[in-house]
Amino acid sequence: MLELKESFKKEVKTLKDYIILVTVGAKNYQKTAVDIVKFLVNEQNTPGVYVTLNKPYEIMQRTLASNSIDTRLIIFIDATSRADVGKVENCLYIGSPEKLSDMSVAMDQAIKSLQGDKFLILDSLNTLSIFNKPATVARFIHFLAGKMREWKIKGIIITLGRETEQALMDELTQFSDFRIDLGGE
Amino acid sequence: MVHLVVVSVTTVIFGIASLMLISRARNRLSEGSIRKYMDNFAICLAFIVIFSVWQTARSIVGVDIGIEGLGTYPEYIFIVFAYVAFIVASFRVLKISEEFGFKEDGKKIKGILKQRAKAPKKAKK
Repeated sequence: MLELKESFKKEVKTLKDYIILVTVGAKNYQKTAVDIVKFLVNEQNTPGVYVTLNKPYEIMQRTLASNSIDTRLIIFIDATSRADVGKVENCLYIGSPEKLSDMSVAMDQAIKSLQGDKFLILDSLNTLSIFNKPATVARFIHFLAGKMREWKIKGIIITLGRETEQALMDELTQFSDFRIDLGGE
Repeated sequence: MVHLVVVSVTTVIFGIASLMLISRARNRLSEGSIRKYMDNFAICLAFIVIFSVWQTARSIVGVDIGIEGLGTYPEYIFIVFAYVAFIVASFRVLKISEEFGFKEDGKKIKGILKQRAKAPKKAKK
């Protein structure tokens, strides 16, 4: 927590909008994700959108709530594989990480529904790479980075350092304002 | 008569061009609600284009446009199908708006943020 907090605070304290690429190791992946949300929601009082590709909404919501994070300030987009699609509470189930068009529309609508400062967390890029072709992921990330600039939000892209293709990582580093490495390379 | 043929042929060209554009757009999208909506929309358009093609063909061949004429019946069937497809597409849009509409969530979050902003002030008092 301390390592993340320090790196984060150092980089983003004075910034209103930014794109950060966070590379993590498998061991501290969950903790990092929770810490980032905690920092944004509890400390910066910022609402936002959490796109989860790894863990279903129920698990994510429970994990965040157990870490004293007010999940009411977060709109979840659950893109993990599941049979049913639709909206439940503050979560939209996309149904599959392959449905990138739906994911883009959902992110756009969710971000635009929020006012003032807001964040978007993509958790995680390496999962996107498992379900989609590298070229498709690269194009999606390119699109997302452009959109994050347009929306003027705090954009955070989490990825497992070791699992992400180097070319994709380089491309993303090019778009992002900062890259925070927390192990995994 | 010539004017009618020109108008009909232009309509058919526009319709086919629209179908081609939809097909290109559809190919760019991944599976999901938006693509399904595009499929519905393409079906609507296809029926209307078939309707126009049939009408143009009749104009060129010179079949009499009368409701009792057999040549007119397929036209009306296509237009009926087009409207049925429009209803399906409209329902699809309604479902998409239910899924992707976050306006209410945004309002709720705004209210929660206001409450949170007021809470420390009250505590201070």
